Amino acid sequence: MIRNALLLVEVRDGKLKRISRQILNYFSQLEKLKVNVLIYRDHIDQEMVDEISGYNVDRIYAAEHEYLKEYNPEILTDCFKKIIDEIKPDCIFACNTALTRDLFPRLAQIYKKEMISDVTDVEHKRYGFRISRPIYGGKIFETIQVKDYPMFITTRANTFEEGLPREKKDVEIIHLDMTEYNNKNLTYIVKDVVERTETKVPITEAEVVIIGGGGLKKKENFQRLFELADLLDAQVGGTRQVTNAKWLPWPKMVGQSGKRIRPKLYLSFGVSGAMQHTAGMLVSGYVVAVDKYKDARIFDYADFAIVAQAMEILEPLIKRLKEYKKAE
Amino acid sequence: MKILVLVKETVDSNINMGLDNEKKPIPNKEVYVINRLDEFAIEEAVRIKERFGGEVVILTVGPESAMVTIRTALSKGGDRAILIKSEVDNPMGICEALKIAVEMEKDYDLILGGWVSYDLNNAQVPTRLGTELGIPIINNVTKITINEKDRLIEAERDNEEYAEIIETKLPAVCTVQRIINEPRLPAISEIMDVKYKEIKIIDFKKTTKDSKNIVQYSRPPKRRDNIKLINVEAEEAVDQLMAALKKAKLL
Repeated sequence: MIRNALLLVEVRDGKLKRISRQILNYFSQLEKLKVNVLIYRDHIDQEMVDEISGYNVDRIYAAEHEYLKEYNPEILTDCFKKIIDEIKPDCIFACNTALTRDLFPRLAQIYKKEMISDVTDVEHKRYGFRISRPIYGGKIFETIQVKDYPMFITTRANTFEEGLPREKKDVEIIHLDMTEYNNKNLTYIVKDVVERTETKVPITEAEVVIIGGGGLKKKENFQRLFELADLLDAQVGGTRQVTNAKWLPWPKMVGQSGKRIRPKLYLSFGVSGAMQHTAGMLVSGYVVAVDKYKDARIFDYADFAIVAQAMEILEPLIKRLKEYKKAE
Repeated sequence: MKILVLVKETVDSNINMGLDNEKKPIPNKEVYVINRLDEFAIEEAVRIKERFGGEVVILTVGPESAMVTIRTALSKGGDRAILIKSEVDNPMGICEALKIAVEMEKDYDLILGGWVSYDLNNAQVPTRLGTELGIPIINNVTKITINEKDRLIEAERDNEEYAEIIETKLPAVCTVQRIINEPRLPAISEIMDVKYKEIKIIDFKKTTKDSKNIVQYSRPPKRRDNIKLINVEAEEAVDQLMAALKKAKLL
C-alpha cells in the first residue's frame, strides 16, 4: 500500500512551475494518501508556500539557502536524504525535467531503489499506482505496478491536468536547517547560468507546440510558424534537421535526443516523421500533421493529416485563425 | 588522462519492435548498434586524449555478442576494452557490474557516457555509478573543458531552456549530449587496428534483485481521430481542420 508520498516542486522566476502545479493538483485529489512536498530556493516567499498549501498537502519542507539559487545536486541530495530518513515515503514523485533526471538516479542509488523515468500515464489504484511509459522510442509501452516498494518516479510534463489551488488548510511547514552549508566548500559549483532561448516557457511544458521540419525549406519560412504560434499561444520547435541547420536553436529540438513533449495540441509542418522525431512526440494529445509526401511516417501518428506543401496550408490557416480570433 | 567510456549496445532505433509469445518486446530484426549518444562520448574522450595524452578504455556490460559493438567502439578511438559479461538489464544491476571494472582501473581521471540510451530511456547508469563511486557527476553536457593542472573540469550542462556552467573536481562522471562534437568516421587503418587491441572479458553475477514490477508490455495507444486529406484545396483543408480543432475543444 502506498500511503505516504513525497513530491518535489520546482520554481522559476519566483513562481511555481506549471508542471509542479500539475503534479500538486493530481495528488490533491487522491484519497488516503499523505502528501509531503519539498520546495527549494535561495528565497522562498510566503505566497508560494500558501499556494502549495492550497493543494491539500499535509506537510511542506522548505530548503532555503543562497546556494540554492540554482539547482545544486550536492545540497538537494542531502535535503532529500534527511526527509526520506525521517518520513520514509512509499513513493517519491516529480516532473521529468533535466533536474530530476539528474537528482533522482543519485537518490535511487543511495537507497538501492528503482527509478522509473519519463512516465506518461499514472492511475491511482487501491494498492498504489499503475504507471506506464514509452520505451524503444515509443514503439512499446511498459506498465509497472508501484505497490509496497518505494520508487522514484518522474512524470512527463502535461501528464496531469493543471488545477488552481483551492482553499488553504493548515499545513505543517518545516524549514530545513541549512546552516551547515554557510561556509561549506562545495564540490559541485554552478559558476554561471546562460539563457539560450528567448522564450521563458520550455517547449516540454507548452500546451500547444508547433514543429517545423525540413519541408519548410528555409529559415525565413519559420516566421510563419511564429505567427501561427502567437495566435495559438504555442511554442515552436523543430526536428534535428532544423536545429542542425540552425534555423532554430538547439534546445528547441524535439525527438529522441532532444526534448520529449506532450502538448494538448501538436502541429507539424514539413515533418516526415522519422522515428528519431516521433519518439519525442507520440504521446501528444491531438496531432495535426502537414507534409507533402502522402506516405510520410508522421501520418501514422496523426489525428488530422493534410497531404500538401506546408507553406500552402500555413498561409490560409493563419488567415482563418486571425478571423476567428477577431470574431471571438 | 585515463578516460573510461561507458558504451551500451542497443537495438538499432530504425528497427521496428514487436511482442513475442510471452508478450515481451522483441526487435523484428536482430540489428544491434552502439547507443548513438555513446559515440559522442567516445569522440569526446579521444579529443581529450589528443590534447592531454593518456588512454581511452571502453566499458560495456552485455552478452558475449556485444563484442561486435565493442570492436566498433575500438575503431572509433578506444585503446582497449573490458566486457563485463552479463545479461543484466536494469540500471542498478548494470551499475553494479560496471563498478567491478572501474575498480580494476583505479587510476582513472574521467568517466564519460551518453546521457541516455535510446532503447529503455532510463538515463540512470552513469549517475548511479558516480554515486556509488562517490565522485562528482555532471549530466547532459554540451561542452567540456579540462584544467589538468588543478584537476578540475568545467562543463556546460543543458537544463531545458538554459545552460548551467558547472565546475567540479576530477575524477568525475560526465554524460554528454549530441551537440558536444561531431564524431569522426574511423579510417580503414583504424578499423584494421582493432584486432590488435586488448579486450578483457570478465564474468558477472548480480547480487541486487530486480524489484521493478513490470506487469505488461503493450503497443502504443491508438489515435483519437483518423482523418487524412489528400488532393484537397488548401482553403477547404483549413476549413476542415478548424472544424476538427473546434470539435476537439482545442480552439
